[in-house]
Amino acid sequence: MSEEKKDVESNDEKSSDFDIDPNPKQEWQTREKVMAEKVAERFELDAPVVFRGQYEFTVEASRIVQILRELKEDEEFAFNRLTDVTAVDYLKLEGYEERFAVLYFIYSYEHKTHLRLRVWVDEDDPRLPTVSGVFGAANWGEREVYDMFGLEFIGHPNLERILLPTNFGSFPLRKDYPLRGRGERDDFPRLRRGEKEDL
Amino acid sequence: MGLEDLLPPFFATKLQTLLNWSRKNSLWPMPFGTACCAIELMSTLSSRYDLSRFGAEVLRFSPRQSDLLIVGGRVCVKMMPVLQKIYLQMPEPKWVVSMGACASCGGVFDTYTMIQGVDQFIPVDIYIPGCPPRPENVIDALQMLQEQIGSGKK
Ligand code: SF4
Repeated sequence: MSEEKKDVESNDEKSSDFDIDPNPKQEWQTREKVMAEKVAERFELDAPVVFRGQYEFTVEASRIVQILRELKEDEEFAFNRLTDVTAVDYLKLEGYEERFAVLYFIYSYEHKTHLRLRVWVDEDDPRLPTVSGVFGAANWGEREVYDMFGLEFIGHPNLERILLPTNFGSFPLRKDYPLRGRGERDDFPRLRRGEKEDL
Repeated sequence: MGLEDLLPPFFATKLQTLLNWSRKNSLWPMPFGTACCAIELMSTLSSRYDLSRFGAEVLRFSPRQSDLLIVGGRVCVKMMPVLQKIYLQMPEPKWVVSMGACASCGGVFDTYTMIQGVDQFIPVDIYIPGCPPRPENVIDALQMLQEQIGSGKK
């Protein structure tokens, strides 16, 4: 039992390291690792966070558009698919740079590799540049992030709410938003029996 | 009703009874199915349970042609204005059935975007409990409603 525990712990230690596994056993692990090393070298990025063979780089908001464009257009990387754009609200959790993080999940059909990019967004000035000019798929993803977290994407062609009604006043996936809302669900006129349609 | 005012009281009462009788036996439901309850509603209407045996045969997807609104399923804040519009578009006399836990009280979905019971915003005549209600419950509700219409209570 204690031996098993040790194993798990030592694995965890390793996973915070860039070289998660010096000799990957699976072919896809090698692929991901080689690609991550190439990306880190090309853009001079800090060591990525590694979790179960997935690599995540943190980049500054000012560089995200240029980096994504190069990752997409350069033959060497060819990350031609944006799987998802989403965000996380860390609120008051310790150990995080800012309150919000926006995450970009990209995938290369050609090299069959994944990559995740993280951009920290300040709570007082929740704005960052849009990448919808690079990936068309970011258009709706960014609208959803705006809808749920209230992060503004500068230069977005149509930054409107995508899921909630347009007059909805708050951003419900922020962690300080109450589960039952702030009265939005009780805010309708009450119809009585025999009421006539306003034509 | 303008007609009743022109007739002697005895005939007017009889006429009302006749009208109620005909209304209760030819309900035209308008299904407002937004979730899983609508599936059960479909099975109630199709051949096995066959709601038409009880005089509610013709479903109309246009509110202007129907007089019984069946709200089956979850209603969210974006849908509520639509539901109210549909209710207003239906011609009088009209009745509303709130089918299932979600339509009646929000069910298990006690969140910011779910209406906690459509009866807060539109008048409801009959509630059907269940998640989803069985077709028998729906038939039972229909018969209860018919009784009330027939006796002139609604
Ligand atoms: S009451 Fe149950 S079956 Fe009906 S809509 Fe709600 S969850 Fe679905």
